[in-house]
Amino acid sequence: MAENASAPQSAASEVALQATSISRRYGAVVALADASMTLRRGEVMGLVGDNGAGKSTFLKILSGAVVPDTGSIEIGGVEQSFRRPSDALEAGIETVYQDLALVDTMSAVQNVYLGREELSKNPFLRLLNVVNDGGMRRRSREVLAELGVGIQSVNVSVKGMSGGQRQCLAIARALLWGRQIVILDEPTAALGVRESQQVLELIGRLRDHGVSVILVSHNMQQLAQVADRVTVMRLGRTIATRTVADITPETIIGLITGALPADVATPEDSATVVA
Amino acid sequence: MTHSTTRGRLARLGLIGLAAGLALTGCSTVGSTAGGDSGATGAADDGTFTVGFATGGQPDADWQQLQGDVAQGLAEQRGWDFVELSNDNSEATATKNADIFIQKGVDVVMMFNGQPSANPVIAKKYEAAGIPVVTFDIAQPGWYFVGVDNAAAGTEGGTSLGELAKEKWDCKVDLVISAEGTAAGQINTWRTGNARDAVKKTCPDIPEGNYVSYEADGNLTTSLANAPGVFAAHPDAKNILVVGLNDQAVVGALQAATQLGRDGSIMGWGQDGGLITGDNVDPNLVGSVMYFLEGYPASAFEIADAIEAGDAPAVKDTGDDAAVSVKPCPVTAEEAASIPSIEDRVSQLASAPKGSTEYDLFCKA
Amino acid sequence: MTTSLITAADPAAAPEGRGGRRRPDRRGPAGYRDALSIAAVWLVLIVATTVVRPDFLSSQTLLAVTFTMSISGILAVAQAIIVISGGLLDLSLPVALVFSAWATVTALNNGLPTPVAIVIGILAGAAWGALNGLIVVFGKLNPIIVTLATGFGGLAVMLIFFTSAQIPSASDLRLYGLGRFLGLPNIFWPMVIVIIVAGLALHFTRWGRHVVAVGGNAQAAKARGINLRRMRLATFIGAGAVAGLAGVMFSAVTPSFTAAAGAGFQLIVIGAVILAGISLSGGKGNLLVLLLSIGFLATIPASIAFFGLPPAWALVFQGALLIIAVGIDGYRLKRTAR
Ligand SMILES: Nc1ncnc2c1ncn2[C@@H]1O[C@H](COP(=O)(O)OP(=O)(O)OP(=O)(O)O)[C@@H](O)[C@H]1O
Ligand SMILES: [Mg+2]
Repeated sequence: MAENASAPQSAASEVALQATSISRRYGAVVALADASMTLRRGEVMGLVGDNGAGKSTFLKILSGAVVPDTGSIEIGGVEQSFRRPSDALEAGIETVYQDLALVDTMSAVQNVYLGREELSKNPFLRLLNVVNDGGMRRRSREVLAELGVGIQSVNVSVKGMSGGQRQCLAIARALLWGRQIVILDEPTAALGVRESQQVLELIGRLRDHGVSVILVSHNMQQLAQVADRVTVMRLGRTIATRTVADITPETIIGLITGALPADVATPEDSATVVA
Repeated sequence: MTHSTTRGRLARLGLIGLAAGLALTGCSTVGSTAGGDSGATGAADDGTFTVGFATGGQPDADWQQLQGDVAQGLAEQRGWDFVELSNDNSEATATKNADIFIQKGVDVVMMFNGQPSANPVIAKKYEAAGIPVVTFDIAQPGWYFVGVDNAAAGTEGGTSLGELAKEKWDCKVDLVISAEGTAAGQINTWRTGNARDAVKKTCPDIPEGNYVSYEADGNLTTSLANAPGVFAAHPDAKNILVVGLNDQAVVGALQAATQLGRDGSIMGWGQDGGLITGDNVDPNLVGSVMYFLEGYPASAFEIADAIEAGDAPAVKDTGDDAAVSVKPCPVTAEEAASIPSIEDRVSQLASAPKGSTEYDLFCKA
Repeated sequence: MTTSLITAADPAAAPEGRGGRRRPDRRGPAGYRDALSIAAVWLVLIVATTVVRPDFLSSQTLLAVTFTMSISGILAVAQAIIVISGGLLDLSLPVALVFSAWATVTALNNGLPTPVAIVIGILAGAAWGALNGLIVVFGKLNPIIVTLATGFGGLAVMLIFFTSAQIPSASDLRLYGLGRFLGLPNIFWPMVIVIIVAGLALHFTRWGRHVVAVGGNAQAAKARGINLRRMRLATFIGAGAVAGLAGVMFSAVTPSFTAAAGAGFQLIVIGAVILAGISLSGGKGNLLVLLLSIGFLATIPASIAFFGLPPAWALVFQGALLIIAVGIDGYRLKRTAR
């Protein structure tokens, strides 16, 4: 694979996720061709590429929303077969979608625990499927404070919250559930500078907690600030992986646009590929 | 008529259901033909007088099919040819049936059409073909109207109830409740309004303030939802009378009285006889007015007899000025219990002497 | 190739906080304000009627209002479950009600014991809900269209099987329907219990959370591993069972009913749900507000009777109510869309 020789900054080189030779077509369109990625424990991996390069498709496959045609995914060395999002969730992969996947009409704590509500400790109430609201509230307050996510109250519906707060909430959910891998698709796309900064800081703190992050972004400054390594995609292929500390944003842009050569052969003129 | 309007609406809903592919009924249009003329093309040529009869075909109204049976019996009695079709409660079928009758060269058409919006078109066709039409309950300009005399139904029901109040309570009535069905328009005025006026006439000393109205919409459910407030608003009323658009409306009020513990001294008189027979008659429904809808053809055949004799009467085509006004039959609950079932009435009418109506046979028999 | 990749000067800096200007939601606990406003309107109606007719505040009025609330209240819970779960509206509830009532009285008429007949009635409603749910889920069809069609079709089929159905006049269930408990109609209490139980379940159980989430944002719920099909089916069945209970109660207070007897409930139930702030867009609703809204609507006919208004006013009120309710829902949507 197109592994860069230089070692990551993170001391742990344990592999969290290994995706190998993933392909996916939509009719005649090859959205993903032979894409691979090695994600280490506690690293932030940037995923970049031009529009339509296949980033979202790759992420959707890793999060179980799309089933690949071929290829394999291993987590902690164990082969996975994701048929639906809940499979990936169970395997420890948390995905924050571009549309955030928050329920506007529900409160912060309800959103954080959605699909994973803690049941009451009282065995009778537990039998009745009653949730432990107090416990969930306490724990989400703790985690949000720990991550520095500032929201007025976890009981208020998320509808009124700012884009940054919502984004942070969606990301914090991952930590609260003890996920090892978090996937973020353009988390700062809709945010202003200050809010983007909040989110980037949060990503940094996730890494500090030993979580591996895959981050799609079009913003080179942001990647330079937060990513450990960057994987570049072109026309459905993962063409290069670089350690951010070793390169300049211009290098990445060159790889994205094709101005710099790929580490692997690319069928630039393939008739079936729609860029 | 309420029968026609409410049932028409229901059945129309039902029909959309059919269209939605969820119903089980078939859609055979041709019901039966009499006189051994099993589906032969033209009965017109042999010179026999032919009656074309279109039943309504609404799924919840057995009287509509029975109208056809009665008409067939009457035609056989006269040695006439008889062609029966069902309108299937559909505008399209009713229109198609008109073409079939015209093609068969019938001499008179009798029909009930619960989808009257097609009637103007159908009327044009018959007019062009020169075929006279007798319509039941739903008026159409140029067609002989046969329907129950709703005005008389209201008056007679109200008079009967007033007389009971006179006899039992010496006309000391604290409350006269009208269970109105505003949407039924003129029919409501005839049935409910005339009943109220008749009570007034029979017991003139009931104060004007003791008369109250509420919206029952001609069904038990709405009546039962709105009536409780009426009793609550007149907490001191003891002797109470109820009249209304139909039995359902009146029984709704009576049930509400029971719920509020106000049924100690209450009497209701309904219309249409819908809830006056069976095992579960409300004990406070003291009477109703029966229309014998299935017997309408007996009246229609009076007109057909005249047409056959070459002496067609002038067309009377409105409810106010009907060709034949079917006499309503006010019955007490006890009387109602002794009136034969609808099937028995049909078979008795078939063997009755020519010119008999169900009123003659069963009302106060 | 585009150059949108490079955001050197970060143009996003200009519209700082596109979402940041969102007003914080100060509504406190869900529906708190809705509850207050409906309670206020209801109070105004009561006070106005009492001013004109001081004898309005009587046990007779209480009986009248609570009785009128009972069946529409239970049916409104069924409708609320559908609406909150994002099922838009179930237009076939009146048919579900009559179908269950018919199943109940048929069981009684065949000599089955009362508890069995009640269970049969509730199961009939659940089965009806299952039918709707299966068509909606596996046909991927709009629930309004589906329930419109099954409502019409169900009515047509019922018309084939019976023109009118009657509960045995001496049966326990009928006597229950005529009785009282704590001075109020017996059938009022099941309604209160259903509202409380369903309200608590929606707010404090995992099941309820998932219903609300599916209604609020189905894609989000799916991404959290909630099985949408299973939830949709379950809510239709659950709402059907509640409608079945309404049918059982209906059969207890209605000595004789036709297949179309449920039609009178349609408007008031939908009106009550919308008035209660249970938005048709789903994901939101408080059943205690629904109880207030049902109470308010049930008071209107009594007030009309006390005012001595002509009967057509009932129809005017009904029409006005629906327009107002739809207007309120539209206004709420617009307000929250910004
Ligand atoms: N559901 C789909 N049906 C058909 N084609 C699809 C589908 N999803 C993606 N594609 C195609 O696959 C290719 C890769 O799309 P993808 O969304 O993964 O790109 P991307 O790198 O995320 O682009 P962007 O930067 O614009 O988000 C594109 O050509 C796209 O049109
Ligand atoms: Mg994308």
